[in-house]
Amino acid sequence: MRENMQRVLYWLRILRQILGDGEYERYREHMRDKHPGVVPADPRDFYVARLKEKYSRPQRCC
Amino acid sequence: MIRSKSSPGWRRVGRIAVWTSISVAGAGALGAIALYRSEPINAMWLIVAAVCVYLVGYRFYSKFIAVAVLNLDDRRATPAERLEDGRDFVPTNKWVVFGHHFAAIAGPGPLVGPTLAAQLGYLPGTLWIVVGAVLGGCVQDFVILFASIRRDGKSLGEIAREEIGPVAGFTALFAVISILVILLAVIALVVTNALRGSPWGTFTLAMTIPIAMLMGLYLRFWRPGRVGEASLLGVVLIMAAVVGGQYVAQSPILAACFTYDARALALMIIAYGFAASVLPVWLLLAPRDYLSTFVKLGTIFVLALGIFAVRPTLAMPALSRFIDGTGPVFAGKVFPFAFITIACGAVSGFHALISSGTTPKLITRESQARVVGYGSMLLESFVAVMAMIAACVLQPGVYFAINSPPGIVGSDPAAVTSVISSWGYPVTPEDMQELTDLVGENTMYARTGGAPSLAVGMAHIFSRTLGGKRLMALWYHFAIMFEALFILTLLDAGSRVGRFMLQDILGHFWRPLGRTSWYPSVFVTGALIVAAWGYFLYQGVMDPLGGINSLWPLFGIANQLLAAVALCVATSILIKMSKARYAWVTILPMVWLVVVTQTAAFQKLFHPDPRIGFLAEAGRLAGLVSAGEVTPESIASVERLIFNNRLDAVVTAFLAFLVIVILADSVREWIGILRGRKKPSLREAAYVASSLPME
Repeated sequence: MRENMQRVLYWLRILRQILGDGEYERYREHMRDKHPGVVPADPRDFYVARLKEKYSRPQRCC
Repeated sequence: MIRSKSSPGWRRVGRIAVWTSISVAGAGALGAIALYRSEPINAMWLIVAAVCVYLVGYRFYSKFIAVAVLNLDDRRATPAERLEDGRDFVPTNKWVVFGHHFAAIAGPGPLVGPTLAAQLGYLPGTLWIVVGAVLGGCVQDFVILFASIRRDGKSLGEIAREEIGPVAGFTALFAVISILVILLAVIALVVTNALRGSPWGTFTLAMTIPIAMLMGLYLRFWRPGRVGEASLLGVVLIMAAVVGGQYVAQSPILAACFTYDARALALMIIAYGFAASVLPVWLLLAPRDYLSTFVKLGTIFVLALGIFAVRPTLAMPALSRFIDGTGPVFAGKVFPFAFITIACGAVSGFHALISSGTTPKLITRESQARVVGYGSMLLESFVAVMAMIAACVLQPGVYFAINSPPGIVGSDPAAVTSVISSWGYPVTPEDMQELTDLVGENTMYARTGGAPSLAVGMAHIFSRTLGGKRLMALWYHFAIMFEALFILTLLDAGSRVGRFMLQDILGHFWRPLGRTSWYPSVFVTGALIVAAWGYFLYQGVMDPLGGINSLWPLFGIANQLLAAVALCVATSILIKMSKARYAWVTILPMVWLVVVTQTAAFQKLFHPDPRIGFLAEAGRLAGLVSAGEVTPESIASVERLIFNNRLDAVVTAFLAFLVIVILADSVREWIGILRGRKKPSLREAAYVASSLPME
């Protein structure tokens, strides 16, 4: 029962990431691990900057 | 539990037995759909045949490519690991990458193409979707993804330049922009035809703009980056808009505000495309994209459930009489036109841009390229099979009444139905009236472009699962919203990317034009791209033959040509990797695509039938003018038709020529290497051992 519950939660997390959630958390982790001295961008600036990068390349198709 | 007790030998026997039965079931189902003709068959035959072929293709062929041809190496660090920056390059769970990649490649193409190709009967299209994907489309996506992973996530254009030469690189970039323009024009035409004279559909789609903006504000200011929440909010609102559309359609005042003819809709879509491509992305483009991804994945899932629950019978014959090339939806014989009408779903060159874009920067292990590259394309192929089923559950007479342009069957209901019935596909004005009332539209005649007939098919399947005939109208408009939503998203995103590509090229000539944040350049290049596809869209709207007849083949040719280019790049890489003995893996689909597209291009240029050949049509019209058979009022529009047909001919010839250039450049390179005259120089990133823990 508990195992099934965990499996459902795992796939929900995957689905959430597919939709594009959690990018900022990932970025924070990366900054914490790899660049401990640097102050990371705040969530709003990060979100807007990411969108600009993403939508300047083909990323949707027919 | 039983598994762990049995000995390895028995397990092996068990596995062989399972794969043998899958192969036999697949072969049996394929044989059945190919040979069984006496009465209509159930859609499940198509599903079983497709799924078994996919399983066998994935298990054996993709494994062979992964191990023997590409030598995928999990000890080699991928760009996601080596170049990790927390933004673009991030080692990501393989199912997340799979989802991202699938959501990126699956668009309107695999839905519309099979719907149009259904005029030939379900057999040619289905066989091409299944076989083309396993041997062509999946291979292309997989190998290009691999090539990009080995090259720090470089794009197809860059890889072409480095591995073949500057001529091929520049030609590929040029081909991509041309294809983008034609693609955007034809999908805009599909939306225009789906919304023409439909206040319900137009209202729903119009509402997606404020809904997306609301989501944009939510994501920007209130809850930055909380995409899941915002998407849920958007979906709830959009469902409300679908339901609310019914009241708009029933109110005489509101209905008048949302009822437009094709010309007005086309102009609005052009204006919208321009606005969306120059506005900040966070406001409209990104939230609309999140919304459409959510709705797309959900609807595809629900459609699969619906087909399994209803198990509908296919009303369309296996082969219709139009395999002779006289079909009303598009003119031309099965070869080559079935193979360019269905591009996405079997092979789509556009996927090579995605496979060499975001995806390679997220892959953690090289071996995951197999499930992401090959596997995602199998799923897209399955979507195309479902679209084919949805189109073929309609009575053929109804299908043809919806999809035939007035230039061929006339526009009076009695005349249309009698022409279509005379083809052997009986339909009456009463049938059409009943359907029109059921789906809550004003007319269902001449709704060309595939979207309306697909929506009717989907509504048919959905309503048999849930709600019955009572909810048919709701399901129909849900399906229209679903298609229009991501077509419009593609228009925004495509116009924007096209603008960046154009700025990239023009920046070489005058530097300020390349600056993506300099407003004069943004407006000029944005307007150029939108004007380019807008011109073809407007031309399609004004075409008496419905526009789809000339534009969809042009798009198919363009997309398949890009696939030929991608496979050509892939072949160059295999040869340089000293894998020339396995180069047939990419050469086989490449040769097929070159043959198909060059034949189709030749026929679109020089075929004597004016419905197929652009020049023949221009000549026929010019003949009418010189014979004085054109009234003075319509002479201007006929002159424009002549010009447009000649323009289409020039574009077709140009695209075909581009591929010959790339092919010639590559073959020269291959021969040089194979004869030992040239040293193969592979531009892979240097080997770095992975330090991530093995799974």
